[in-house]
Order: sequence, then structure tokens, then C-alpha cells
Amino acid sequence: MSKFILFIIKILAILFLAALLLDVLYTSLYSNVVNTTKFDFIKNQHDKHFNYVFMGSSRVVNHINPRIIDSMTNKKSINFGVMDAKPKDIFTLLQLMDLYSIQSDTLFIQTDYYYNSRDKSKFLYVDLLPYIRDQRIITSYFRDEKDFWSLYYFPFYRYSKNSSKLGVRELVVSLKRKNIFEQDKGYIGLKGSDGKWQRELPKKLKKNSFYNDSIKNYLNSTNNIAIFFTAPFRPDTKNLFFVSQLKKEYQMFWDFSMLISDDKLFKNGYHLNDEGAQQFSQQFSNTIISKQ
Amino acid sequence: MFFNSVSFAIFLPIVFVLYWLVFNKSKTSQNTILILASYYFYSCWDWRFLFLLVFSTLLDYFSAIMMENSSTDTKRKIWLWLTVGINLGFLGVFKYYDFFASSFAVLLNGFGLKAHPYLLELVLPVGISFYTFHGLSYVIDTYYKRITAERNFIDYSLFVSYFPLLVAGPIERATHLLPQVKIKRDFNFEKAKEGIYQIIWGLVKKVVIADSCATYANAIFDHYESMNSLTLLLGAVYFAFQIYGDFSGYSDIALGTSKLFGIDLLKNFNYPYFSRDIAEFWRRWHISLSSWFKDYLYIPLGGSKGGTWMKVRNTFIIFIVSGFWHGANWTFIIWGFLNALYFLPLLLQNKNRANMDSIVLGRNLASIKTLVSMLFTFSLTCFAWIFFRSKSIVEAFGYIKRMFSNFHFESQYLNNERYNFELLLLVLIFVLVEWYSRTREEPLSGKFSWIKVTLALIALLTLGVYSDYKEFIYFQF
Repeated sequence: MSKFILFIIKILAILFLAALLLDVLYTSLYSNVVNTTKFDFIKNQHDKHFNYVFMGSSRVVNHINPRIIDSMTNKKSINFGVMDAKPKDIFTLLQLMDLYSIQSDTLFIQTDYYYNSRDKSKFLYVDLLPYIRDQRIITSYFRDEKDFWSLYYFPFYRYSKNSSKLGVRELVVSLKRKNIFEQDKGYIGLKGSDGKWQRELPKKLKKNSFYNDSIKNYLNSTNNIAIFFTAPFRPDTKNLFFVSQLKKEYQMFWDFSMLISDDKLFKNGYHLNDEGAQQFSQQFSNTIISKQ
Repeated sequence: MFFNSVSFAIFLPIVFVLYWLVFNKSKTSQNTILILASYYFYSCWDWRFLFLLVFSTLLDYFSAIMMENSSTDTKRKIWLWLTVGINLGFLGVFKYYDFFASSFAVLLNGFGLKAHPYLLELVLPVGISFYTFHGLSYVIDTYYKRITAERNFIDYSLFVSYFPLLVAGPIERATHLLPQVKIKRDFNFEKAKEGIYQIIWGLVKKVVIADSCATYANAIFDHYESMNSLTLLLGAVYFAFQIYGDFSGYSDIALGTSKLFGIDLLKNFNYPYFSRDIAEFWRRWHISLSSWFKDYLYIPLGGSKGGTWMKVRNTFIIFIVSGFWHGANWTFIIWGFLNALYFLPLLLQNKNRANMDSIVLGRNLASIKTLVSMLFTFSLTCFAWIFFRSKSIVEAFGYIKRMFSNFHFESQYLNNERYNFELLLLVLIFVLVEWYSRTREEPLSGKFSWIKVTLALIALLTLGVYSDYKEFIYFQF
């Protein structure tokens, strides 16, 4: 039996060492060599100053084209929208912006049906995993995960668990790939108009929302100027009156929810296509100019 | 509790320690701890179905004794048919009732009679097909006096409920397993080491091969209407490796786990995709089920003793019943029928036992012929798997029709965010590893075993699919 115990210990030691070495290798490559994610793009802007920074979910990524904003306002803007981002993600990104010394004159933060959510973006979750041990801010982003302990301490667990996004195939492909967000300063346009995905907004806004309050408090404590806005929805969206409840939650709120009514300008119920995004970016620029 | 779950990784060492260090005084204490562990293992799925397992155990145990105690053949026969009837009755109610009721309603509707079948919609107790067949083999063997009835209830209970084989086989025989549980087991380091190698290799097959193939096969089969010929072809190949990796991986883990407790289980797979004809395939695939049907259905039906018609009839019966055993769906019946059709030419030409020797490849013409035969058999198998994987007959025919009519062979981006061809390299490496280890139970033992184990562990860490957690396919049967 003692021989068998020794045999098992050897196997477990190999497993642990392999996991440890792979963890170091993957973390080093994802942190230093791979440059494909939206978070990489944001991190790459360290020590830079922008006049306008746009934050929010895919409804910023696919709606705000900074090149149009720049050309119309003669200012410098950037799109820091992250797919599927919710208040918790915005709060984390705000803190990381300060950490990376990314400065902005005005922050434009998109808010809508995600207001009530306490969840996190599944995209930012994956983007930030390689950095979980790097920064206190990123560590605390994951602290509410059920398997936080394993994610943080167990070598390679975070990569195995998310193998479809952070696996060996993704790593190899990512090493060769360029950051698609660089091309249009964080904006990605959507093509076509498939007419599906009708959005139903919540009927009621939840009061005392923890992460929304955290965002507001953080902005106050850092003296950042922030304007909240809601990007256009297709007119068939249900419960659009939710936006009027949102409006009451913010001192500065721009409502673009019903700005665009042409179905052809929408990819789906809550995403504009590239053509629609162009129009919206122009309208947004006009609003900035008019309010100056 | 799945073999590839964290809970099993905790459960197994606990049982191992209790078995060898606490309850190793006698055969009875060893068997008792294994029965308790097995009942706990089974109740992790649904404790309510534990009664079925206990009932089946009690029924077969007492029936065999009553059969042996019976003074006349008639009484013995009554006990046999009563036990077989009740066992198959349970299986029928839980697994097949809804299928028969709805199929009958469809038939009546076809005649213009409006029928609304009463469906039970019962949850299928996990492993019911396996432990029912397991118990039946014991009762039938007792009836034919191949074995004597087991009087020790603890030993018999372990034979039925032994957790490594409880939910997905292999379907054991009393002649093989009972003698092993009737003696006290002593720890054997070499056997336990073999067990660990087999568990690791089984996990590689399941988590690396089967689950990777599953993401591609699912993406292709679920959207076959928009796939081109090449993708559909690859979909069938990926599913072939999914089901092989899944089920043979499960069997490897079961056999390996059992070796840790000093018990050998029947070999269930013997590199089936290297078969040179379909008869050889069925001697290598799910061996414990094929031999079960041969011994308890084919031979009682007359086997190959009668004329050609009898042989053909019996062959079709066992293949169709075997298909139906897998699930209550016409797709499985067609799958079985198709395999019988493949088998027919061999049977008629008396060539079904032509390839009994081991496979050797060299640089000669005979090797090319062997290689072509293997590829041909694999293609036939893949074609039949389309029916096995499809949700309905209509879907299966739609898949096949599109595969042979689309004629586009370019790469296609699938909804699992991968290109259709991307997995081929992994599959090819797996085939080569299997080929070079085809004379052994697993490729990790032997020379350079530590290097091979390290590579297998690295493969598990880096190539395993953990994000889309998948259960074993054969658990549903």
C-alpha cells in the first residue's frame, strides 16, 4: 500500500507542477503577449488623456464611433464599451482607468435595462481572469464568484474552467491576431438588419442598486464629470417608459432611446447597425456641441 | 455523481481508504462497504429510484433460490418467466411505455381514428437498462443450471449494485463477477497502478476527445440545414469519436476504478474503429452487451443452427432489439436495422468470423486491403451513427439528403465559434495513439510510463472541455 500511496503522490505532484507551470505560461502570455480583448485595448491607453470617454455595454461598443465624434467636435474621444457590461463592470473599469492613469474631461456612461443587474459581463469576466492576482480591483471583481477560491489559488483552474475562451486553441489564435478594437478606437460596427431580438425592458427600476450607487459615489469622490445616457431602441421595444424612471436617477441624463425610428438602421431590437451607429454618433456629437 | 466530476474525485479516495484500511478484515466487511458506497453513489442521482434497485436485487435473489429449490421444471419455468416478466415490466414502464403509447396513437390517427395517448412522462431511472440485464443474466444462468443460486445476500447485492458498473456497465456475468466478490481481496499494487492508468486514459477519452468532439458534433447536427457536405461528413465523424470516447472512456474509468478494489470487470471495448468488417466491429464495440444478446437472445432463438432464413431472422432480431435497448425512439431501431443490413452479406457468405486474427499492417498489398477494409467499415459505422445521433428519423434523412446533395466542401464556421476542420488534428493524434496501443488496455503503461502519464495529464488540463459540462451519453440508456 505504501508503494501505491507514493505512486499517487507522484501523480498528484506531476499534476500540480504541470498546472503550476501552465498557469505561469498562460498568464504570462495572456498578460504580456496577447493583445486581442477590449480590456487589453483599454489597458493600452494608459497615461493618455481623452476629452470624451464612452462607457457601457454592446450598446456603446456598436453605437458610438469615436472617429465621427472626433471629427465633428474636434476633440479626442474613445469607446471603452464592453460587450454585456453591467453596472459592476462599469464600476470596475472606472477604478481601473484611474489605476492606469487614463484621464478624461467627460465620461459618457450608457445605462438602460442593465441598471437592475448585479451580475457581471461574461466577456469582461474572461478578459480579466488572467489578471486576477495582479490588482486588488480585479481580485475584488471576482470575489463574489462561487469558485473564487479555486479561481484565485488553484493553478490553471481559471484556464481549464474557461477552456473555450482561454484554452490552448484560443491562446495560439490570439498570439497571431491583432486587436480589432484598435482600428476604430473601440467601436465595432454591425452589418445588416435581421429584424429579430425584440427587447423587453423591465417594468420597474430597482431602488438602492448597489453598483449604481457605487458608480455615483466613485464619480463624486474622484470629481469626474459624468453624463449618463440611453442609446436608441427600436420603437417596437416593450416598456420603453422604463427610461423615464432611469432619467430620475441621474443629475445629468441624455435620453436617446427614441432618437432613431427607422427599422433599417437597427441590426436588431436594441443594436443599431453600422449605418445607424453613424447617424447616432453624429446626433450625439451635435448634442455635445449644443450643450457646450 | 459522474466519473468526471469533483464529487467523484472526493468519493473515490474516501471509499478506497475505508475499503482497504478500515473494512478490510473480511470479505463480508469489504462487500458491505462497497454496497453502502454503491447505494450512496446511486442515490446521488435520485434516491427515490433506490427502491427499484433494491427491489430488482431482492426479486432476482429470491427467484433464483426458489428456482433452484423447485422440484419440477414447470415450477422453475414459472419462476423464470415471473422474474423476467417483472424485470422487463419495470423496464417497459419506465423506458418504453410512452414510446409505444404515442406510436400506437400515431398509427390510429393514420387510420383516421383520433387518439390521445395517456403518457406517463416518467423520469428514466439511471442505469435501469444495465442493472436489469445484469440481473436477468444471473436468473437465466441459474435457470439453465450454468451457475448455482447465490445464497449470500450481501455477495449478491454487491454483484448487482457494484458502483463502477452500476449506471453504464459493463453488463457483468455472474460467472465472472460473483466468484471475485466471494473471496476476500488483498491489495495488489500492480493491479491498482493499472487501474489508475486506465482511469487517467478514460478521462482523456471523455474530457479531451468526446467532449471536444461533442461541441462540434452538436453544432453540426443541431444546424444541419445550413451545413455543407464536408461539414456534415465531419459531423458524422466527430460524433463517431464523441460516442466512442464517451462510452469507452466511461468503461475505462469503470474498469480502472474496479481494479482499485481488486475486482476485474469485463472488457467492453477493443479498439472497434480498427475493425475490418462489421462483424468484427460488433465483437469489439460494447462487448458486454453484444455478448449478452448473443447468449440470451440469439442462441435461445436458435442462433445459426437453423437454415439461412433462421440465421437472417435471428440476426435482424438481435440488432433491432439491441438498437431499441439504447432508447425508445425509431432512430435507434433504424440504427439497429442498418447494422443488421451491414451484417447480412457477411452472414450469407459465411464470412462473419473471417477477421478473428489480430490486425497487422506492413508495406505490402495485403496491408492496403486491410486499411481500405477498416476505412470502409468505419464509414458504414459513421453513416449508421447519423441515425443514432439524430433526434428523429426525419432529421436523420434530412441530414443524409443534404450531405449527398449539397456538394460544397469548403470550410465552414460553426456556432461553437470554430471552423469545421479544426478538430481533425486532435482526432488524428488520438487515432495514432490508439493504433500503437491496440494490443494493450491503455497506452500509458509500459516503457516511459511517467512521460506518457505527464503528457496525458497535460492534455487533460489544456485540451479538456470543462466549460460545457457534459454527462456520459450512455447514462440515458
